[in-house]
Amino acid sequence: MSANVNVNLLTPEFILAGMGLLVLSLDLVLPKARRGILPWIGVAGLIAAVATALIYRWDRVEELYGGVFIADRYSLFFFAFLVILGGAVMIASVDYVKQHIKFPGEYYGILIFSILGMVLMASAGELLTAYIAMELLSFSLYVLVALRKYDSKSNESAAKYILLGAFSSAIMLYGISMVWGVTGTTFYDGIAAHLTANPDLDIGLIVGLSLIVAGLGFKVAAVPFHMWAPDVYEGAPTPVTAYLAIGSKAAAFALILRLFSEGLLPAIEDWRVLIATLAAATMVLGNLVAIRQENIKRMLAYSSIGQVGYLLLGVASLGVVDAGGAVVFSERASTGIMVHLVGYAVANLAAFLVVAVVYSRTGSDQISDYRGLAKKSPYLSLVLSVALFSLAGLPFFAGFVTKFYLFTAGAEAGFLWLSGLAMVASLVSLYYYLRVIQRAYVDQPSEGDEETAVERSTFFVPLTSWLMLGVLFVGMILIGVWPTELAAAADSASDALGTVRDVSTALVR
Amino acid sequence: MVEDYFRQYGLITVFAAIAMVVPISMLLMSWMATKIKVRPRRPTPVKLETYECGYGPVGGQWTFNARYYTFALLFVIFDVETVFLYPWASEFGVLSAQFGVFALLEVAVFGVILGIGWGYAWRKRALEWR
Amino acid sequence: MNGVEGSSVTDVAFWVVSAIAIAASIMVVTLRDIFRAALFLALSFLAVAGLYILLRAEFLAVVQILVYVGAISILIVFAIVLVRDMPGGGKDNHLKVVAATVAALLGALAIFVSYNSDFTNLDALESSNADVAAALTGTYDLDASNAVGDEYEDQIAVAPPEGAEGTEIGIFSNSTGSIGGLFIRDFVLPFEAVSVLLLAAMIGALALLRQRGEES
Repeated sequence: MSANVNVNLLTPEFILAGMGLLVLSLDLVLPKARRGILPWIGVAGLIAAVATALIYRWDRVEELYGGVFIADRYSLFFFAFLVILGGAVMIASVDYVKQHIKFPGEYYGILIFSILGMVLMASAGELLTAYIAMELLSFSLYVLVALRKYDSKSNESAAKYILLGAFSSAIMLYGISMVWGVTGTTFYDGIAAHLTANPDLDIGLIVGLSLIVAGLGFKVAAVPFHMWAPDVYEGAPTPVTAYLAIGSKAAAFALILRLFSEGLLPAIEDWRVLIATLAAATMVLGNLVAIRQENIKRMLAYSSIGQVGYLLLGVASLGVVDAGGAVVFSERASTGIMVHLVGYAVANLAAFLVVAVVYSRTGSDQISDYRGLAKKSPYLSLVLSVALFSLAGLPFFAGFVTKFYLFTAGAEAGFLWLSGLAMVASLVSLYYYLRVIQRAYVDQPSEGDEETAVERSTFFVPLTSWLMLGVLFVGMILIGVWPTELAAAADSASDALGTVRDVSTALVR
Repeated sequence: MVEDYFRQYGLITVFAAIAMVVPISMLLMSWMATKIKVRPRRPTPVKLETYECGYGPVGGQWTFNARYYTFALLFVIFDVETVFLYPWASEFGVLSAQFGVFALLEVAVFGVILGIGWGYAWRKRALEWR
Repeated sequence: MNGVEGSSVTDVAFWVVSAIAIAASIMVVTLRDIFRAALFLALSFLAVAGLYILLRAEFLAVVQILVYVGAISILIVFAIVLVRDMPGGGKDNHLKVVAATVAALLGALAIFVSYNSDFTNLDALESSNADVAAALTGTYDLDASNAVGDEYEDQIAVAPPEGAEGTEIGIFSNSTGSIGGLFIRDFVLPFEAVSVLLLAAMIGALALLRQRGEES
């Protein structure tokens, strides 16, 4: 009964929701000149939420409302990660919002709501709750993408995003209804129990699960559901693009990881090849098409599609079937996914932040306009290079370590070919990352060339962005040379996933 | 009980059928009256005006104020809110006996959150007609 | 509809309502006049509400009429009036055949799946004489002595309110009420999340709709 539920455990979520409401209400009462304070109030609230969560939930493992909400180490890991990520995006957008967006209160308030949606996605133990949380995130993102409303590109990308987002949500909802029809439950553990009891999958279940995978595939932009991503990423305000590429993907993978390891693991034989195929297609296509891009946001969009391929490789290797025919959960794979998500988030945010700063000075996102960046701003180009090297996976940077975790897990689970393919794809990605770096550092203007946008403009990096870039820079190096703490945190989160909490009650539903 | 359920909706169906049959038969009768030459048909330009005894319409197409759309959107959102409140309200007696004040509190939170949205709409002058 | 025994009237009603729904949907995609297409869309929504009633999902039917027939249709009509008078409609495009093929294939798949799939859960609930309304709307039935209800009975005691002794009151004897019960018991969290979602949608819509010069 509700009265018995430990509602206090939800305090961090209440703080998040309260902060969003507070920022929105303050926007209504503060005079226009004072609204610069809004993001900092929001960031303070996010810090408070993370602190509360860490203190309050450190060693708690509990299911609220019969498994609708699960509080464990895994939820905690993603709570901290996603909220910090949201806060970073918030700080990273301060300069951009001041310059380009007319609605600071709406922007930050809705950003906080979307963070709430993300953390609920990670801790939901049931499909409908996960769906609602995902919609909360998606609705917020639709608005954020469209907020530069006098920019026709922003409008176009928002329209595309809303249409395809609604479409994918509908597909997923249809899948959920079919899964419910066959199993009689929407709870992950109940689905797992059903799958264990009925190893031969019903046709309705197969179609339902496929539809859910397709819906989630749209959300993370996996091939062949990726078509919207480059257009939307290109048109959205740059900090929002970063948020789309990192936050929404990280949250979707938080959901996927819990759904697949707690709900669908018993049927891994049936879906691992499908996911592996998606992974292969995604990493190959994303990285190959990225080569041809001239707009840096489009290039980063395709590169992030490629990264989804690596992450899907981890999902495909989530379990191995042992000699006795039982499915064993592979903690290595889930640790790999989580570690890679963090490394990818840090590097990608840094890259997008550089792009945002360059855009606010030059008004251009073309790679060709990056010539002369090293001379104009050595700091920006250094951070950009490190971020791109990290995304490519060069040693000493975050990407190397995280990819190492992920690819070894894949090889262990029997996907040697896929891990090999992922390494080749990483090499390809190095090529197009190097093109940007070459443009920034090496290329010299030859006779008769026009000045590039970067060369024309005067450069200075606003303090907030400067500090944020510094933090991200240190983060990339730190994860690269000393990943043990992060890996340990991800390990304990994976432990929580691997533990079967209470399947006996789940059967009932 | 099942029978009762369908009998009630059967009544609604009958109502709907009557509501549809009456106007259709009126149109039909008027049409037949023309056919059998009971009703004469002599159209003149004055008769065919939009407002037969009023002012003649001036100007071209009617322009539609975009503000209607704002209200329509707000209406949809509060409509959906009603959908969530309705099952709670219809069972409130039983629920409050079982869950006590929590039954009220939960929906109060729901209402307050949407109330903030309403305050926002008011404050940002979305509800004014200009 | 095979769950309802001996009610050929409902069978007839089912076929009539389905025919209306399908015909209206076809009109929506084939009509040139977008305004008429919108009206047929409303009719098709209405017919779907009829299907929900036949499935004993009263609450869904009310929602369908309240939200889709009442609000969404109005919104669509407003959008059409707002944009432009377009009696001629859009032009054909070369994807028409492809779209029709894909739609037909998906429809075939849906029919195939619903015939071949084993919706055990629904069958079990229907055969056990339970209140089918609860089953079909995805809720638990506490009164009936079926497997699902039994397991839950000890967890959630159904206490009749005072002054109602003698009559056996189950809080989940009708689908609307059972949904209300779920909102307050298991699904409090998504229920509150929905309010935040609606708030975000409302604020976003208003921010995007505000006209130039009205920002403050």
